[in-house]
Amino acid sequence: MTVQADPRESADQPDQSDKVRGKPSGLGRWPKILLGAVAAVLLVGLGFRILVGSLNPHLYAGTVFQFDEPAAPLEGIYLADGSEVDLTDYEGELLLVFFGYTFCPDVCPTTLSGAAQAIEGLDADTQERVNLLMVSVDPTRDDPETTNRYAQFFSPQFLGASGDVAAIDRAASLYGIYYDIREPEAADQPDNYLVDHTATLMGITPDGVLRIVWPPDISPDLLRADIAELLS
Amino acid sequence: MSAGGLLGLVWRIVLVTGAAVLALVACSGSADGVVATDAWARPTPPVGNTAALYVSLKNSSRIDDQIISASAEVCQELELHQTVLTGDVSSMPAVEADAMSIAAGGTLLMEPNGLHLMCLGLPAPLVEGEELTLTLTLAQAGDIEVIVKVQQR
Repeated sequence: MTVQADPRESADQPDQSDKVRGKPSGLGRWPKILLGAVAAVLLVGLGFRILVGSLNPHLYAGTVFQFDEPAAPLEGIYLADGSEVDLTDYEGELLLVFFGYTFCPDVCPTTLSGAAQAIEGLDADTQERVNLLMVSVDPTRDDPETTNRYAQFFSPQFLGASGDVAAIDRAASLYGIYYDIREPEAADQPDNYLVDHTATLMGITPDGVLRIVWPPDISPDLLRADIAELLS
Repeated sequence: MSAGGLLGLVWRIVLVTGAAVLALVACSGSADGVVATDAWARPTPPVGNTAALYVSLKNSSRIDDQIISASAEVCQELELHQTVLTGDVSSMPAVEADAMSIAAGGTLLMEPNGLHLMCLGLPAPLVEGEELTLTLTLAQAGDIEVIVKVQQR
């Protein structure tokens, strides 16, 4: 850049000695002044950005917890490959946890497709560091394979897991999840029943702490911004 | 003829056609009393056999109307449900009669995490691009058939 600006300058210089001092050719000065002005504007802009950034830290859409306890282990909750969920597998990455069930008509598909949309909009490197684990609250109908097929429908990156009633009860209680298996809709169809459940999305941060909880109707854009900030 | 003049002519044609289409749409809306303005469902996973159908119904008549029943060939059972988020707990009570009513001149809006038609007992997953036929029986308008588009939103 400076090399390009110099030839004109040096070409002007020999002439300048013959001319009146302090009145150089206007054409030679203008690029310098312009460059200076642009640099000044850029500097002020950068300074302003830093200032605003420090005054306005990211405002999380989710509820952030301040305690640093490690997230409770999901004992007795199994993945489709038969292994027990091990939270240490996700250390250094973000693990989103969602409790739901595969016969869930409205809130689970809505939350999971929203989460998939949020993650798809992240840059490739960040995307790779986001995991989502769906834990079933319907032990009778959802085994780990079924839950996993359900979760992977929304994104191949998602995982599904399940366990027996005791394990699901324990996991739900440790994660503050309420669930209630309802009576079948019709007496002659005992398999058609609904499950009321807490449908939050929870985030276990790279340090293994359950750090943030999002409401079920969180918008993909807000969720994406929070995830990007958590992994920045 | 100048390019500007030609462009002006094209614009006039577009505007006149647009107005005519709008007028037609407006007429068909009021003639039917209750019309579905948007009907869709998400594609469903290969497991589970439930779906939620979302239909928005506009009542252009001067009489309040009400959904009496709903059916679709692909659903063993189809009920109007409301997802209620109490705190963050999702429950889905079948709705009260007043939630099924469509006021004269009003619109009944169904949407994710809200009012929806819950479809149970799907024989096969709903696939993107498919359409399914839904029959709604209304107190005033009688039976109306609605094409529900399966699409990711």
